[in-house]
Amino acid sequence: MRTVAGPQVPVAASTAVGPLLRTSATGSVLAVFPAAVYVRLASGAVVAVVTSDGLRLPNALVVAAARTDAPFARHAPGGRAAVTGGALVLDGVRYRPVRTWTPRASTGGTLQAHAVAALDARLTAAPPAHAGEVAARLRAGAAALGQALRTGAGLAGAADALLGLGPGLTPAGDDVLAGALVTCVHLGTGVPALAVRVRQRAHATTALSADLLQHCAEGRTSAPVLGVLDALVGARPLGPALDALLAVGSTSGSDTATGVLLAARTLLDRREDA
Amino acid sequence: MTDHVEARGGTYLDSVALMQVTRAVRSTPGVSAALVAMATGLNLELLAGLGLSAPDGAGPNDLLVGVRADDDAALAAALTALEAALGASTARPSAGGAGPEPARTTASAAARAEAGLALVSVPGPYAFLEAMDALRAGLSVVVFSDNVPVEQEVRLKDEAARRGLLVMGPDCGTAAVGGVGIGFANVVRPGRVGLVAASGTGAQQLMCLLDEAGVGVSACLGVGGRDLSAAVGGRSTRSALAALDADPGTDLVVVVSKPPAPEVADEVRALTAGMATPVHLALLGEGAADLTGVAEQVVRALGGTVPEWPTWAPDEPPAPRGGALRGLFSGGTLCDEAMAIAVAALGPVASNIPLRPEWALPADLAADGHAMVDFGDDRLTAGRPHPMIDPTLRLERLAGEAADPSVGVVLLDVVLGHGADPDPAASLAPAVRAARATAAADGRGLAVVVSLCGTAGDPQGRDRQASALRDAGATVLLSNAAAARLAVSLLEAP
Amino acid sequence: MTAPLSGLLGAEPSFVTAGASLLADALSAQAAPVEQVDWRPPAHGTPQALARVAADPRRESANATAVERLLGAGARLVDVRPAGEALGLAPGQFLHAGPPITWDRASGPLRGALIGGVLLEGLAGTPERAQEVLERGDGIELRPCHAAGAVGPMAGVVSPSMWVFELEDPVHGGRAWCSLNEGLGKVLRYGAYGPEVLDRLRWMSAVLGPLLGSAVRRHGPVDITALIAQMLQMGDEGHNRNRAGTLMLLRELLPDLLSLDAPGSELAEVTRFVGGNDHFFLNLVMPACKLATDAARDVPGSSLVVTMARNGTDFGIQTSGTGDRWFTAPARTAEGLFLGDFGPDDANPDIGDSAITETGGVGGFAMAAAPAIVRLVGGDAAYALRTTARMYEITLAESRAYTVPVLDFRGTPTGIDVLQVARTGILPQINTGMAGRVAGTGQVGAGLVTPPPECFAQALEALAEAAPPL
Repeated sequence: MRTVAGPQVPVAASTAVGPLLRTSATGSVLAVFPAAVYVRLASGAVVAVVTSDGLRLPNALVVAAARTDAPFARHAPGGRAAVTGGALVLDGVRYRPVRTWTPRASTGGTLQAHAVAALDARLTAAPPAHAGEVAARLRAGAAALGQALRTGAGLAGAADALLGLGPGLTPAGDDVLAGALVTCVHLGTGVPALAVRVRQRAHATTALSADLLQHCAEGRTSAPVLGVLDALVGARPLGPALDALLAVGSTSGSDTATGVLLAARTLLDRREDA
Repeated sequence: MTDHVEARGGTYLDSVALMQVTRAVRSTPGVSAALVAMATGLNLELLAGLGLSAPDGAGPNDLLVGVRADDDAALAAALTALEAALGASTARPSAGGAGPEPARTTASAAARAEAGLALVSVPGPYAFLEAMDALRAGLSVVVFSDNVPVEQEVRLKDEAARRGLLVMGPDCGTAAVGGVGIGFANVVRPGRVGLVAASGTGAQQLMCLLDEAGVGVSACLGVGGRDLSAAVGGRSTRSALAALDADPGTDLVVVVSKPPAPEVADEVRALTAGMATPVHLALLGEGAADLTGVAEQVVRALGGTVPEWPTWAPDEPPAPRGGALRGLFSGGTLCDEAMAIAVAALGPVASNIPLRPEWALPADLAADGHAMVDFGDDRLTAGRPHPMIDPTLRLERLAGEAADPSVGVVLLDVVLGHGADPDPAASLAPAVRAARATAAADGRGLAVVVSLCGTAGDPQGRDRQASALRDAGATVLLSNAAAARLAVSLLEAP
Repeated sequence: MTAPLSGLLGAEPSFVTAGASLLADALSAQAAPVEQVDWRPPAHGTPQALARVAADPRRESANATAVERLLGAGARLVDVRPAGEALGLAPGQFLHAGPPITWDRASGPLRGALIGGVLLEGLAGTPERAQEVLERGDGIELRPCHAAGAVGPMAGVVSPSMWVFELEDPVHGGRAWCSLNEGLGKVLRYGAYGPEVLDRLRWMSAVLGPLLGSAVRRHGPVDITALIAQMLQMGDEGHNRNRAGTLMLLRELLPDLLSLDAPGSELAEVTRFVGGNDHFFLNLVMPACKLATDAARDVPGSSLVVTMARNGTDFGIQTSGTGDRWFTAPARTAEGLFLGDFGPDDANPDIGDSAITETGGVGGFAMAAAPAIVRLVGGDAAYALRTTARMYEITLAESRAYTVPVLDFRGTPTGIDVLQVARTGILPQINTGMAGRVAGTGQVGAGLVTPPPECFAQALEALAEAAPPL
């Protein structure tokens, strides 16, 4: 038996959104799903409220209920949101942080060439996730991003060609960027120029995606992505970790994996050159 | 050929839903092109690539719909399909419905949920069944239940060892794992100190002091009050130490217990000596360091500064006087700690949990001279709630001490946190006031000292509780040892 | 190397709680997911006995072994033969349903069936004489069907000249037998013994049995477990509703029957008889379940129930870890709907070996597959679902072969565990027909019944004695 939401719901809040909750702000509900509610605040920041068995995004407040308890049934897109008294209030329901969780921001260890090769092999063998014009642009954009990461030049242009490209809550191009960004932060030294461009061009994509890209630029992402990063440093087997990532969304996982691979290959090349 | 483009606000679909909607529209007969996506700049370019022009004012958080159909009829069909698909994907899930039959055993519940830990608080004679279920399901288990036969405790702990799991208990009232407090637990900051506790209130006192000093806790693994006895041999203590040693999130370990059997204590010392993580032992008893002392050691070991432990003193602090010291405790370990301090300064202290057998109080707990009562002892909690939840017995006793002309100082503990009385001061402050008034009417001054075990984050609001008690005339201290020392100092002959 | 304590210290906290809900509430208040157990004190057994059985180091693997054998058993119909030959029954020897019983304790339907059996075998010429013979007991031996590897519905009386289905378990090599179902109305198994009953029995031994036997031998073994699996997806549950199973059997054997060298009139009689008896297939489901449960017998330390059976007076159970011991208590009377003018006072206490179906994971344990039967027994479809759902709490496994469409093809709850029954107080749910208490009345109704809990309490004590001390 699990208890479903009343007017006050205790949540475990990501330390990454802690500062946001100490302000006062208004906003509105962007979207409601069985396992998540996305809220956009006036500042443009996005906060997610997710179920305990949902995808734990770095901007998430986690409730104890599971998706089968339908805890978000009373919320609807366009609903009123406010941050007040340290809590997030949606449609009158007060989501009150009672403890925190910290999104992991780094992966220890050394990039393993064989793991990167295995990732490459699996993604090459996988059926194409996209078709038509989107697929073509995505390919071109990914190639350009790879090149830009290698040379350090053309990062802005590469970002512009990917940001907002493709259908979906988090457009395919954004997912590629996200995967690349977070990999460079965890396993390299980050890509400030790319992070800056992505922030400047936040308006080119959906609010949720822009927010998640921001977190990625600071090294914060969800567990399935972290799992693959762990596998790339040899801390766990790649197979199941990649399966878990590919299961995210319909193409989101595989697009993110593409970005991770791009960045990982660049980091390896750089290491070999050094 | 007819075209249709629109942008809809407030429609934010996940990628799976978008795929389904797109598929529904594209597969309508007579549709030659369709795009359903968020209206980002690049997607608008794709729209243009299809020969469709963008609607005005479409932004990235709007849903973009573009359809090219052979004729009006086909377009109408496509848009109908679009609405149907959108309706289906935005339909809200019904809350609940006929749920499954509730699980009747821990085995059944563990099979349904992805749980990490089981908590068993069923009556003692049956706790074994539920705890065994948990272990067999691969879950470590906290056993709050007391009155579990010792042979069952040993059997559980051997089973846990075989499976690489941990039994916290029996009679474990306090634990904390993953930032969540279990049982009677205070809200403390997360940190890197791990506790292995054979004493619940001992662990609570330590965690509250550390929290005050800015030191946080990674986990508090209770091992049950009997784990360090000869019969159980420290089985859970061993597992808990190994786990914390291997935990990358723990930099320092503290073991808290009342004095264990000597041979078991030696084993524990040998074990901890072999660990990579530094360990501080708080094995209390006559002559050993008190919990505040251990907290201070830990703070210094971590490079921190020991703070002034908070005291809330009334405007007119109590003056030294003669008479007896009476302790009324809800936490057995806090009572033990206070007794050890009192005995060293004042001599024998009678109790229902005496430090020496010859100091035992009679069954009716009538005291003559210094005495301390642990109201949480099994004999006083048979058939009634624990004093940390229900103050009735203690308040009665307080009134009795106030009426006893031989009593000079009353020492009480108040333990806050999850599971405890939501507002202890509500009943205790008036009782303190009344007790002092009773004594004053008789021409006596009664000093009341309270050790308040709590943190700022506790649901009761520590500072609010402290102020209320201070305003009633009590001197309130965070450190139980300091409270005991203050109480004792008020009685020493000037 | 896996993290110590299975990664407890690094994981996101989530809990299962049993006991004070205050504890669970405090966890929920900290935004931690909690699955609460709907706990209540064990209904049967002393705390010591319960703990001793739960602590038995053999228990986990013993139950796993026993239930795996149960689930893995096959059942094929290989022959139809006279009981005298197949079971070695000598004149004067009679088998009956349920645990051992003597004439003086037997209820109306069983007495009537025994009288009929004596008459059928020619050991007496009139019912009165037959009764005397049975009262005196000279030259008469009564044994449970189970003791001979057989099962019988209702009174379950088997005598040497009756023909029986013979089944084998190709996986474990066991054999099991069951009488042929006479149909409804005035029949021997309900304690009727009039001329028409005996005539029918004689015809079954002279025509039905032999022709079916020849057809089966000609056809080759008939996979009964496959038919059971299919019938569950067609609205049958294998105890009280067997219509689809009966028709599938007929379909299977008809070509072979028709190609036998027998008079067309006899073939017509046989097919009419089988096709017109909605319960014909019960007498194949029962021995199929008997094969499965027999395969699971005699695993030391196992608390799996391998028999549930009633003789019209007592209900008896046996467990895998307690050998041939019967644990008996007075049988209860079913509750449900009555036919015609019959009422509760007309019903005999629970009778028959047909509870072997529930023991094998069908019948009442597959009620969700047969919502229609629930109306017959006085419940509704939601009741059927809830009841089946409850049975998962007291069983060790889910069937692999027998799945229920409305439960998303989940396997039926299979393998009753004495310990779980004692802890939860949930008793196995049996769907059953009700016999009239006066011999020869026939069926008076159908309903739901549970075993008396004392059977499980006794079995628990026996298992505790057999378990090593803590």
